[in-house]
Amino acid sequence: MPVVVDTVFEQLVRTHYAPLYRFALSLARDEVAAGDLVQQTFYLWATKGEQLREPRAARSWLLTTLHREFLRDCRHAQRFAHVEVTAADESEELPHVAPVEQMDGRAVLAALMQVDEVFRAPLALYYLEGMTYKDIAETLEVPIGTVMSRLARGKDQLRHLLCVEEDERRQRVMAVRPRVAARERVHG
Amino acid sequence: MDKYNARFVLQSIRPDGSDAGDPEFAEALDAARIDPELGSRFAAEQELDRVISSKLASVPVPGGLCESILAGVEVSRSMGRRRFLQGLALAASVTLLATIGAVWWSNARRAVSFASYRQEMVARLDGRIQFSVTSREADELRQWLAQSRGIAGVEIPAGLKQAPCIGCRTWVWNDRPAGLICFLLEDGKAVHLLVISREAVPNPPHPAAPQVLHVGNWETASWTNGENVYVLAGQLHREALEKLL
Repeated sequence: MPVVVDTVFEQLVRTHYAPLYRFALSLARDEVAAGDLVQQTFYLWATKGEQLREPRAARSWLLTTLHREFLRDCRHAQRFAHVEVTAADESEELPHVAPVEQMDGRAVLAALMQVDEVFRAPLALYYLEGMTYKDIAETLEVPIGTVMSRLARGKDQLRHLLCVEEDERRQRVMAVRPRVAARERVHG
Repeated sequence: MDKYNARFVLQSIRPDGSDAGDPEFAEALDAARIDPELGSRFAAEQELDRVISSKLASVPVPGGLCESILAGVEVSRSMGRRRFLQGLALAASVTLLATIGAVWWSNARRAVSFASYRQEMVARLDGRIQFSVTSREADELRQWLAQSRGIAGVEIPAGLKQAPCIGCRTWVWNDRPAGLICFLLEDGKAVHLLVISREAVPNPPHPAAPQVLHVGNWETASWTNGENVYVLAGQLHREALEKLL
């Protein structure tokens, strides 16, 4: 049974913990580390951020803080600061939707977690939080052009990884089919 | 705007249609309307983005995470905001010392004693505590410690038998599991009961009389009972802590 804490804080936690966890998981790629990041973020809210009462400001504060904590933990801030603004690579093929529709959410998350770290945070905010590129720029504290570049390149990477995931799934199916067919011939 | 740049800009448009009126996207959207190849690519990308968003939103969140967050913050608040910040700073120092200690450990054997166990475990209470299980019932937590971590036969001190619990977790000390059960007192303060197998610590405290000692930010009482060694730690006056035994 949960311990009773003040209603405003409890409401805040209940509203935001799940999306924050998914965002943290996409960054940290580890369930325990993601749980720690979320918990640390709410601790910081309890000590520093609870004066923000406007819901949208709270959401943005929590996401920014979680991302800062992630960067601090990983000591990757310098690496993140030197990404150039460039346009996306031209990919020849149109993206295929149907295979992704067949995938489990965890498989899609697994693909997202393989995207380069620098692209992963904006992609996660775009897909999980439905944020505009301007809000992503504010949350991650990077220029707007950088966000657009990271979204474009990150999406290309993610689509490629989803294709790889689908190919591997198909190969697993193909590996099973001959055995099933052989068994059917024997028993049929 | 050429096709290459239009495609670049279109990648930032959200798939729910809410960016259609954003003037920043107007030129790229016009290009997609005029160019059939660009238009069909944009439509396919938006559809894929919708599917990805919906798949990611379905990823499950661990059960009990919300309760663990609420319980953890409750503990911090019971310590007081100022104390909590000091605790965080101290926890950072402890982490640094622990890292240095880990390096040293590879070259030298750590002094293992009851005093070092108490010192190390009490220092962990200064940082944030993430519970593995949250419950108000001590029996549920005792059961979890016994079944999941092999810490059996935990006896709750008489003065805490009626107090609601917050949660429990374990750490590893000297390659042995050490359990923690956290209680919430009537005045909102938290007290922590640490328990470890008697075999894990040399020279454990005497069973007859608890040793009361101030360690770091905490008043502690230590005793041995049956197969376990206990340390009760609270930010209380010595007399208040003794009443809980």
